[in-house]
Amino acid sequence: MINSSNKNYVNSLFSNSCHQDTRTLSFTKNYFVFLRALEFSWHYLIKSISCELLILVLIIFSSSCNKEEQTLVLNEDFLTVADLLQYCQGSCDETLDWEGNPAWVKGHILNFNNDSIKNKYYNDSSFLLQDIRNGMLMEIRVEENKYPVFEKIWPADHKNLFFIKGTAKSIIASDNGECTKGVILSLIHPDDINFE
Amino acid sequence: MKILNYRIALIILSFLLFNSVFSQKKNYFNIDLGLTQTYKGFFYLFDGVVDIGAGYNRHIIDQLYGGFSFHLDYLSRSGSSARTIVYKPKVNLSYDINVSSWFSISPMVFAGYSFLNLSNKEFNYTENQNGINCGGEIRLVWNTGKRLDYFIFGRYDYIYLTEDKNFTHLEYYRRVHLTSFGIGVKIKSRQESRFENQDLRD
Repeated sequence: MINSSNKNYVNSLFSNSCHQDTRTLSFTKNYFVFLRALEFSWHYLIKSISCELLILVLIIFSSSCNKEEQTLVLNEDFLTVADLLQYCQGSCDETLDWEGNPAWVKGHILNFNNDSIKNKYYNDSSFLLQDIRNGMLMEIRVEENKYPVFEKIWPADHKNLFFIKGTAKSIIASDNGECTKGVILSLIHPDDINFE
Repeated sequence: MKILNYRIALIILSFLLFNSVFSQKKNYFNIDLGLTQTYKGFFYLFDGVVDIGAGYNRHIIDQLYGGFSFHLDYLSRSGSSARTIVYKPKVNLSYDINVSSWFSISPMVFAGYSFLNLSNKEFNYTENQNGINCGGEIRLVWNTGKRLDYFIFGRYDYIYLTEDKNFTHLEYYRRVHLTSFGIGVKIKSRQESRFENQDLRD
């Protein structure tokens, strides 16, 4: 990497060595040996850093491909709508561990500031709970005690965060011709829904 | 005294030598602008809007470059006030493969740390998440022989968020995948553009 002009310079120093102080010549030689060693070290360092960066990227990529099965307890903390929707899905060919089990979820009721939508929710005995962070929606079905449940939540609006304890039930959701299951939450008792 | 002067001269020489050997010519600054997209995971309902960034790269060995960059991705969801901005500072390594005197391909790998700002104005909601970021990029560069070179690029960013049970309980949502495609410009040092002009003239 030391270019030709530098080499010429060194050679000129050596060729004139008969006129130079031998200590100076020795120092010069050592200095250029030092420079070459430094240059070699620099290249070695850069190559090792490059390799380490590549290895780091490969490790992170490989860890991203490792899709281990994760088990969630659905009635320990109030899960977000996004978490519950993602966890509670699967193939129609099998019975999944979450089906028929209690699940707790938190979220905002979609468009709950609109009276006509509120009435629609009441008539349908169900409402949509949304995750305001990414817009995912989940259906909550009021299976029993429809009037007391809605009576409890009428004062709320769309900005209130709801905490709901219910039962995860599967629904059939076809996806690209392949049968898949999704989830809705069944709500029975007015005590199982609160908001803040 | 003579030896001392000589040593000083050599120190200056070594500085110039190192400057020419290790940090010479082929340094460049780049700015790019692309359209970004998200895939799977927490943000899959989002429409990526823009990925804008800049970087600085230095020549290391042969055709290998190293540098750092800062990119910003803006993600939004149509029909909603949910927004996410991703800040991505990172270091990178790229290698120039000359296809012809006019074009070169630059594959690049990078690693860094990303910061995500999630917000929803309608609900006065805002939250920050962060995590390690790595990925790859490929550029097709048009070598103009002047100070500015232009390129098109494709980039993939993988972000692995740090654990936060309030954000998600699922590993799946800790993994963020972003792709960007766009255009950019390389602004080379004056010295290099002069050298390259000479090369082209030859």
